Amino acid sequence: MAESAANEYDARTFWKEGHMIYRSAAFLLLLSLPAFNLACTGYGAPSEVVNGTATITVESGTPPSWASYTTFTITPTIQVYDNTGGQQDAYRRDAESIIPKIAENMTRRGYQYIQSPQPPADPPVTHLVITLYAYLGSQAYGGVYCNWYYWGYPYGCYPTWGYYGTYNFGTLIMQMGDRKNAPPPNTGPVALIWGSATYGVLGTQQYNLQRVLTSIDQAFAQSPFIQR
Amino acid sequence: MRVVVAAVLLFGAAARAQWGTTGLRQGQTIWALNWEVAGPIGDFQNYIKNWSLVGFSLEARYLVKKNLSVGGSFSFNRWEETYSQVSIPVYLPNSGATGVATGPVYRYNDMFGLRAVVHYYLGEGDSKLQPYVGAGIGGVWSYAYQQIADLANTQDSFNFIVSPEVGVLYTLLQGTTSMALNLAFRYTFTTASPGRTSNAQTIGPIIGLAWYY
Repeated sequence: MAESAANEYDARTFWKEGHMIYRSAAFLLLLSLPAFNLACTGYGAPSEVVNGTATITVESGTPPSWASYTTFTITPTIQVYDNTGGQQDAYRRDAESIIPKIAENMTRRGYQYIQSPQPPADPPVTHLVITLYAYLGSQAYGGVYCNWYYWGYPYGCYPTWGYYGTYNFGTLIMQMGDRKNAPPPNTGPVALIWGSATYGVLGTQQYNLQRVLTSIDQAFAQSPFIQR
Repeated sequence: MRVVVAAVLLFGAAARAQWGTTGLRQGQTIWALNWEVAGPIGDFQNYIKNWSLVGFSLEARYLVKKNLSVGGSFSFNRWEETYSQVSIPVYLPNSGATGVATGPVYRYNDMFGLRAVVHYYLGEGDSKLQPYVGAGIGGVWSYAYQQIADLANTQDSFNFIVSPEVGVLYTLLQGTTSMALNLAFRYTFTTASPGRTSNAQTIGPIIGLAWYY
């Protein structure tokens, strides 16, 4: 390699020039410490992801014949499970602000909307039933909260699927049940044929009605099979 | 006249800058600490498109012959990217239900590679420049992470890795212990499968410092 006397050294001149090599090595090793530290730590998702709105839709593993249904209704209230106070409180909220958007999407797909009266009035008899749930606070949703007592099905719903996860900023759930092919009330559960979970839309800081409405459109947009 | 002198000097410098292995001798050890840049190619791009600027490697080579070395290498790379809106398929294995998830997505992938390396040094001249070709083969631990809203998913696996490369050592200081600049370009193939992709592959340059004695 190099023959230039300018960059050669021996033991006698090492402390005059050779130490540069070891200084360089030490300097580079020092620089590499942050890299090692980074390699041993996880990354964090940016706030646009953590606080963003995500819509997840799932269809039953045994898809129904969507064209066989004609009518649908929507629960007039949202069943809320609120864990923001450290303990879970269950209560209901009126769903009038979002029902028109859901009904609009369904009627555009060819289904006829029949309005549900407020409880305790009896719900209408329709082929499809859409129920609404909201989860506030940090808790897990596994699709097990199927409160269908209002419809006369104390056995709840099946299958108990759902996109399992935790959510800190509020989640709106829509579940669609097949009441056309359901057994008589009090004899068996209703089959869930479609579900939607929109994360990050109901939290105190994130609540924005337009985001909720947009997420409802998104849920139907990514479910083109819902078509009469 | 000045032009002629300059031309002669430049010609002389070029003549001296032939490739060669004069600086390397059998029995020497080369240590190299490198900064690695790696860009996804192939199916890996469907997972992450961003190039990794967070990567380094530490390698040791022992010259079993004047122009042939064997050794080992440890490397680390991290790729990271945030997508503002992505739709991904969802499958729920317990029920067979299928679906779609849409939203902002954050992904990253760490790879820790441990490879046996072999390098062949080209030429017989006398120069600071020492080109080489080489290859590494071994295992790589891959950890892939995806997050949508506050739902996370991970894949964790140990995989096969092979990585041919071409490069050059440029001696900066020469003596009992010599220091050289290490420049290389590497292709890496792994059997890692981050997300729904398979056989993650990358290309990229490597810049580092090497010490040999």
